[in-house]
Amino acid sequence: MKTKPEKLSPLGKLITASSEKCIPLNLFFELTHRCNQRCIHCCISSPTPELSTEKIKSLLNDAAEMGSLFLTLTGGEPMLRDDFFEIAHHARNRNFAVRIFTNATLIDGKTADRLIEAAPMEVDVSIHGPDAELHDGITRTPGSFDRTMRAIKLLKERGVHVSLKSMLMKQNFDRYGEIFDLADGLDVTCRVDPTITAGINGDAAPLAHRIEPARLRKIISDKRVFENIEPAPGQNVWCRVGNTEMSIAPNGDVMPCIQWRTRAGNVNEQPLRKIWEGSPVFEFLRGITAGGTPGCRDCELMSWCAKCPGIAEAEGGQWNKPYEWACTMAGLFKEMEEISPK
Amino acid sequence: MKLQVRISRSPHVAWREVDDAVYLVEPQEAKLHCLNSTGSSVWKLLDTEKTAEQIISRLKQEFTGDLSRVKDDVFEFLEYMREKKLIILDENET
Repeated sequence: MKTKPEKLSPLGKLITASSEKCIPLNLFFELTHRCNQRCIHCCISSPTPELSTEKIKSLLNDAAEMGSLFLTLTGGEPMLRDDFFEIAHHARNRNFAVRIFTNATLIDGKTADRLIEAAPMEVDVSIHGPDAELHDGITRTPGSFDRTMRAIKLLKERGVHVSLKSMLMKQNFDRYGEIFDLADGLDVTCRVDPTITAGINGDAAPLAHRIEPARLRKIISDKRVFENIEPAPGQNVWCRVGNTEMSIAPNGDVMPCIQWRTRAGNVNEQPLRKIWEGSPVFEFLRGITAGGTPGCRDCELMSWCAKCPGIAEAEGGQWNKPYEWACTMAGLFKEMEEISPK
Repeated sequence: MKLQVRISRSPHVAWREVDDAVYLVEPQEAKLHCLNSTGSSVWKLLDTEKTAEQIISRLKQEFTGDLSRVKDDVFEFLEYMREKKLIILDENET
């Protein structure tokens, strides 16, 4: 008899098993679209009606029954909800591995203590510059950098796993190295992402902040930037939306993901499980592959492509067509591998 | 470790059972563990607090192979789980 945990890639096994059984392993839950910052690149433009506390708790019960393990509580700024801690504690009681996307500006000593009780797996904190001048300029919220820094220190003191999340854009591109330095100084991990996306209402304004590919190419050898965003080698299938991942919007709309906001149903009209198992949107998603989409099937860059159908729809109008940013990034990933083979 | 040690799940562990295997997320480290079938059985037995003796007894009832190593294997497993803070052991007398 052997009782030791098995060594073979637990995450790979879990994803495979979940995929075969169509278990929504990853659940993204947008609790609100309200925010206390006004980031220049934000893809959310206006608040929407929100679900009640009891409805959210009931949905978490349903998702736990369906097998969801990784729960991301996001927004807007999710901590703006008065019932945020009640929701987070409920998620803990239902044995979710909880990740929180936040700007952390609402965290003080007392709320940091309450967060500990919810035992989050990770708190992802948005930071857009290494100092107040740049960060507050992007958030358009004076004092936000100092409040975020204070919160990170409070969370670290309490042993919470904190990760910085930074969108790379024209405004902060020249100083991204200092953001990594800031993370090192705080002893937290850091991910940067150059994929600024269009607004969820179709507003193209955020795209004006996107870095030009020629500038990105100059830092192609910096693995700190690209390691976390490059596709898996040989990736030639769509991401796992609709198969092991789904999202819920503040108003109860169920969507493939927070990028691909095609409405599969609404939890005020149908049970979550019925939407997941019976929605034509999810049925459709489970049958498609990148290799079968026009413009991609014969592309030499397919192995390096991290095409997102949600972004494709937002930028090109059609989820299954190539779009400029994905093709450019695939080219960069290919170049990167040639410079520094794995 | 004594047979009478009382064992409970760490309240901070996130977990699910998929395809008869239990997957655990280690608190604070965000590390995922996959338990094999026997480890999964032990975890499921811990839906309420149990002693090591109770776990061993239950596994001996369910297990059909070599029973001689059950105790050592369970103790080894429990030590591993304690080290990873996935379970809590209470060795105090009641």
